[in-house]
Amino acid sequence: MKMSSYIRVDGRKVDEIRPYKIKAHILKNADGSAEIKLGKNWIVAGVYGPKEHFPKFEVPQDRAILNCRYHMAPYSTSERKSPKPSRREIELSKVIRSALEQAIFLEEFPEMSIDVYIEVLQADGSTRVASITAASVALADAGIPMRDLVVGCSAGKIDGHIVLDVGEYEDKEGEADLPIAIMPNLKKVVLLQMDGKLTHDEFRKAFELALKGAYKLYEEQVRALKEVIKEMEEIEKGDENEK
Amino acid sequence: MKEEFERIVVPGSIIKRVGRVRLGEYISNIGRTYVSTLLGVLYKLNNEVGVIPYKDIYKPKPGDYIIGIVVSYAPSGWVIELGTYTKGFLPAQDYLKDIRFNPRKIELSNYIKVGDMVGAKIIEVNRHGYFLLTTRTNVKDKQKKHLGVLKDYYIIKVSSTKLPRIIGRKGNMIKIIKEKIDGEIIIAQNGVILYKGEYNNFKLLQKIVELIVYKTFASSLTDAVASILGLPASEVNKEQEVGDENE
Repeated sequence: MKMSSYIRVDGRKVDEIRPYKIKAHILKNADGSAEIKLGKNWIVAGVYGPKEHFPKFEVPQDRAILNCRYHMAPYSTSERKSPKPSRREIELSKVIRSALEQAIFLEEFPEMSIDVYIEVLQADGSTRVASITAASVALADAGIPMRDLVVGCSAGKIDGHIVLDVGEYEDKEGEADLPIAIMPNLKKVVLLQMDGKLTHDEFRKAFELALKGAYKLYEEQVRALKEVIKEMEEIEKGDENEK
Repeated sequence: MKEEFERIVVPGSIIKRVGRVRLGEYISNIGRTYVSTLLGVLYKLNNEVGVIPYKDIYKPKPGDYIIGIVVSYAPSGWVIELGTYTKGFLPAQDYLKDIRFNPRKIELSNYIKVGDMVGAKIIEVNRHGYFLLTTRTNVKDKQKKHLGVLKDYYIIKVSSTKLPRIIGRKGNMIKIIKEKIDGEIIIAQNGVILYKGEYNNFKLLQKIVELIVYKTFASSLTDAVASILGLPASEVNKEQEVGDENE
């Protein structure tokens, strides 16, 4: 696949992803937590559970339910955002839930519930895929059995060029965007949405580009989780006296 | 028999099955691939591949010895919380043994109150995870003493996945700890550690458990614990003795 030499509004090439960093186990009180920084995006995810669900009639008898809340902080955008859940946030919570549900062994905990809380501290486009990426790391940190990690990335179309990892300005002014989420080892797509219009060829190109970005983020997810274990492997000499 | 800490796995890491290898815990078969379901460290031991988890949720099993706290009264027994996702039930007739339980005449709070700590064994788990407890034992049982209400203990709560490390291979870690720290140490399978003895010793025990919890996967952990119990332990005692004199 030949890439064009188009330079984007923030100086990136078409197939370039914004600088990213994932950190697992950042909060002490939650059962599991993670943080992602993708460009100016800054998202924190926390997980509780599994625990008993009330009222009982809401939950099926053969599996657990996953509660998911995507919320944007009032200070996350350039203009103040009302803290009450908007139509968009409710929809994204649902979309993220159905993406994560497919990775978790929910049938191991009948009549229980697992809570995932996602807080967007700073928004800069493609927050739904970044949220999924952070939430799956938080779930792994909480020790909830999963089939695979879930990782998301987006692609889009700007000025007739297919680009990877759409930023906020590109999202508003661009012609189309395509967020996807996958389970990379099992090779399954768990989220696929599209806004705008793409031809068949453009869609294929955008999808492949987004896949490429997702695999890069997957490596970062794995690195973040392995770091948690590595910290537990080393005994420094100072440790014994401190604790 | 040394477990080789080969590599770290995350949920979804594909595990290659070479030859006739048995699969241990936390490995699941999805389609035709074997994947790890949790974050942890992979081990190979005696033709078996498995994952030592970083964190896991305690699942009650029949036969486990547990320590829990009474949270409420039911019509014919007590509801007990273990720090896991479901609650257990201890029938009144089981605890009263010789006396016949009659809900009209017998007041449950005369025997066990809400907030009391109870040691019990699990006899049955239903498919929703709710479980039935007992305080009676067979003659052969090892856990004979610590059933029923437990009083005047110091409590340490850890994740149940850390217990194998606290006990050590063939019990060598707990053996070292018990050599130096005198007093009674009870370990329950839901991750509760109880200690009865001097306060200084409890602080030392707490320090050791904390080190084991934070550095679970370290290879030289037994040495580190031994060094805490050896020289620095005496220093701790000295400091406190000096403090006592000043008081």
